[in-house]
Amino acid sequence: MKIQKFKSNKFKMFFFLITVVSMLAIFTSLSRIMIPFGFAYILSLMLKPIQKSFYSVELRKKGLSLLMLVGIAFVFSYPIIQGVKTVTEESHKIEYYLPKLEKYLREKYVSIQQEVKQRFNYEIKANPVNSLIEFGQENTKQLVIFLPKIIGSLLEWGIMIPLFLFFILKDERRVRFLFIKIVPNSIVERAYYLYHQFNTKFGDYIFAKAIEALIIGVIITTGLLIIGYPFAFLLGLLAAITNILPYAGPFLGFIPALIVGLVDQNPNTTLGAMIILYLVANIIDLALVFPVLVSKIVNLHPIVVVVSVILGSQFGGIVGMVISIPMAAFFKLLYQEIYLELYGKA
Amino acid sequence: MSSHEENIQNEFDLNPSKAKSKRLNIPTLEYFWQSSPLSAGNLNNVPCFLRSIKAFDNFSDYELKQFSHFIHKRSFSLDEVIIEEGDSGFGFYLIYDGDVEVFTRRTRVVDGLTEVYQQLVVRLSKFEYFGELALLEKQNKRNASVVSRGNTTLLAIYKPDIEELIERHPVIGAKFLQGISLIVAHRFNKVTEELRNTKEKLMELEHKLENSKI
Repeated sequence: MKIQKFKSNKFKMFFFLITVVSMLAIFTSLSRIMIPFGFAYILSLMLKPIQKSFYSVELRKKGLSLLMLVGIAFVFSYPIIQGVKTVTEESHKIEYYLPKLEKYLREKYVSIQQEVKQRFNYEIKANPVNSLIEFGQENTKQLVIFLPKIIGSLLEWGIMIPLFLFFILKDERRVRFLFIKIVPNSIVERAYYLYHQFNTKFGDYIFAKAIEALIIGVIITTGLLIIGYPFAFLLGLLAAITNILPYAGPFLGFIPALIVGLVDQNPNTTLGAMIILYLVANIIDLALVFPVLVSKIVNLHPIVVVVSVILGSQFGGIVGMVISIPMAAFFKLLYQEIYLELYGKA
Repeated sequence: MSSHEENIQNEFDLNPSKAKSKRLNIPTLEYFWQSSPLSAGNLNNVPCFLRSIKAFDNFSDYELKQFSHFIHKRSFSLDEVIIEEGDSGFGFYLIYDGDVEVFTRRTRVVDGLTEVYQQLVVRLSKFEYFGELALLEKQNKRNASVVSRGNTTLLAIYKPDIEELIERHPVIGAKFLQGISLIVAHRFNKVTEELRNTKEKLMELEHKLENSKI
């Protein structure tokens, strides 16, 4: 008995591939839709554990999605408004710090120039400080020019992200079942398994990273407030955001705090305490939070992590860096499946 | 028609004026009658089909309806491979319509050359099922190939859906796993019985061989 494989399946496979490629092409060409949809999708994955905990109450999906959106709005609106207010105030204060920073950089540069002249009898002619300041001024100008556009996009996102999020939470299963219908019979089991694994890994990773960022943000902000360091909320927020990036993140989050400490002439600014605080926060992260929350989810070799982050930054900037690790974990899974298909069966 | 409905109908025939006041109840009754997944109008639906399968005996009508939301209906044409021996398995299939054949890969020596061939194990038809181990094992490998014989419609239940079912409806999930356990236990008993028979035959043959030697 000879088993004929893929009989009448070729058309289905062709139709499926065409559908997937066209969907990807449409999504990538429409960035105004893709970006808020991507954010909503990531948020929906982050909310999945919360959604699951409500299943026992036997709420219908529509009600549950609405309840979650209202709940999020209710729980987070006050802290968000307060946080935005504080961070905005601190950002305004930065305006007064910028001339200080310029003065500090110029003074430092002149002292280094003199030191080099004295010791090595060599005069540094290049002036990187001027070009750095020019670069900063140019970028600030660009930011001011594009500010209305950025605000417009943010407002658009503010409407579109909750809308997409609501429908993803409500109709994800229905869309998934419709999509599964067009997957050819020969690959349906494997495709569904990979889709499920990708969603689980991606969701768990993003959720774990968000918790990790929150922990770091809270530790840094509280610590800076205790030691009376300036811009505690802004620096805490920056530390939380940059912590999402693996390896380089904690260092990037530390640089602004160091600059503030160096520029600030206030004798109360305790630079040493700040450095210890960042060290302690990162040790807690590396020794407790990361191994418990994140590493078990992806289980990748450190070199693979570094390479995937570099590749992610090259292709997708900061967003690429953030999603690079779960993507690498997914490709590892895909590779294992293909390897099993090619070599494992014998 | 149920006796309760017959009573109402009789009342309508005898006293039309009284019936007018009762008319309000009819849509309610109709609603309950039609909303039942196993009602006459919906005889061809998935819950009704599931009701005919022994593994789902302990499900209520409502539970069958809920469970049917987690099922995928898939169509296969003649000679199409449904599952292949050695592949990773993630789905359990119920035959909704049509027939399938189960094959296992065997080897034999013909003229000194080893040849691989497919041996027919069993032919399955409507209301029968296969692939249940895929839902229980973490890394399941299919131990037989299943091929469609003609246009076949199968109801597929995949592992991710079962995980979701257990999270969303733990009672239905538990009942389903209980049903699957019954199927596995039934198959295990059959295999044990067959093994016992084979052993007995083997012992008989050994006994005969010993006797012939003497």
